Amino acid sequence: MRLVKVVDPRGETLLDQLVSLYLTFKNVHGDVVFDLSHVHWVFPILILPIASYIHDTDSAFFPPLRTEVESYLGFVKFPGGVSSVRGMRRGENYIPITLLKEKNPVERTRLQDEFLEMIYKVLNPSVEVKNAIYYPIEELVENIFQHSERNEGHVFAQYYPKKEFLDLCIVDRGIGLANSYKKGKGLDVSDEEAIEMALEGYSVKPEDSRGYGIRTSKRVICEGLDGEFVLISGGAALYSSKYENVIYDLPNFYWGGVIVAYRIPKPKRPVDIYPFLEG
Amino acid sequence: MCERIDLGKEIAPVLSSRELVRELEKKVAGRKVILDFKNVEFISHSFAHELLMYKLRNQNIELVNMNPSVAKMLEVVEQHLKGKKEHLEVKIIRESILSIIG
Repeated sequence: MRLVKVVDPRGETLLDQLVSLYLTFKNVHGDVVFDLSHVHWVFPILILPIASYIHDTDSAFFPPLRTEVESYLGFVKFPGGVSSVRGMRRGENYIPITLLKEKNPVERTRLQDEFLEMIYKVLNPSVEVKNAIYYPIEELVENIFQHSERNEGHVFAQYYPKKEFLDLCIVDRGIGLANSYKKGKGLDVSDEEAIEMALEGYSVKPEDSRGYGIRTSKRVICEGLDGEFVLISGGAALYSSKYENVIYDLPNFYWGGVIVAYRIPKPKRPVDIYPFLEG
Repeated sequence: MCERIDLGKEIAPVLSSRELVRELEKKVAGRKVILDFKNVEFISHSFAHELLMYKLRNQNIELVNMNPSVAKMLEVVEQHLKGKKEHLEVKIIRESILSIIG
């Protein structure tokens, strides 16, 4: 199998992580071996797509040489993750990579609830922001099961207490946004156009009262929580903050499905999510 | 007396999946049922949308004991169901990722 060198990010910003993900997955097809041996640290936006890719293919990996990185990957249960409430409870201080499956919606909901509770526990905000933390995760995960045509997806988060920010990533290996618009509405759009349509709230379903998930989640993250938001589908990536929305073309890169990643600073003020949903 | 389903206890305190509503629909099967939200902390837009669509088809379900957050989500989604959706134009810059790779 082809060896794929996992590229160390040049810095710790979300854009640096996006570049690292792009350089790692550029020209990657089929079964590969991810070489993590030289990475100095791993972030959710890089490690979760690798876990998801390994899960979806017969790919493998070489572990990091740095013992702290190798231990960390063990704590978060890379690459297999957990797929039951029982497994989730074992990882106390680290939120494990979590595989959500639609087989049983009640079971999936309970596992998702555990994930949310763990995030809220590690974030430990001094202000009431539960709705703002819960809303984007719940909507973006639900998108996997409504639109990806896959009955499973991965979620993962890491809180950095010294830097006071939370990184969260949600990944599926489904049909992606452009194919969803094609199947749902018969539209031939590029990956860039599909991302733009999702941002403007166009549903891939026939009902006009749907299609709020990505638009409103991005607003809650960027405008409500002062965070940054990345969405990758096919060969395009969106980077959003409260100041800008940039869609990047990703040459020689194709992610079959959707990757959403975001970073939020530890909340310092309460956030009312409803103005972002109404507007 | 009609049946009461404690959603928070029987399912979970945070409800987000549309599929949950479809499961409920199968369970209720047209009977008169009270859906009790007293142990529900939060519902997603998707769950609220699916639930209100179901309620439109089945007037026999009653929703009770919603906390302010759940009630507000239902209100917002009800407005979305009634009104015409506006597709707000988003200002977007387009670039190649190569422009930020040093």
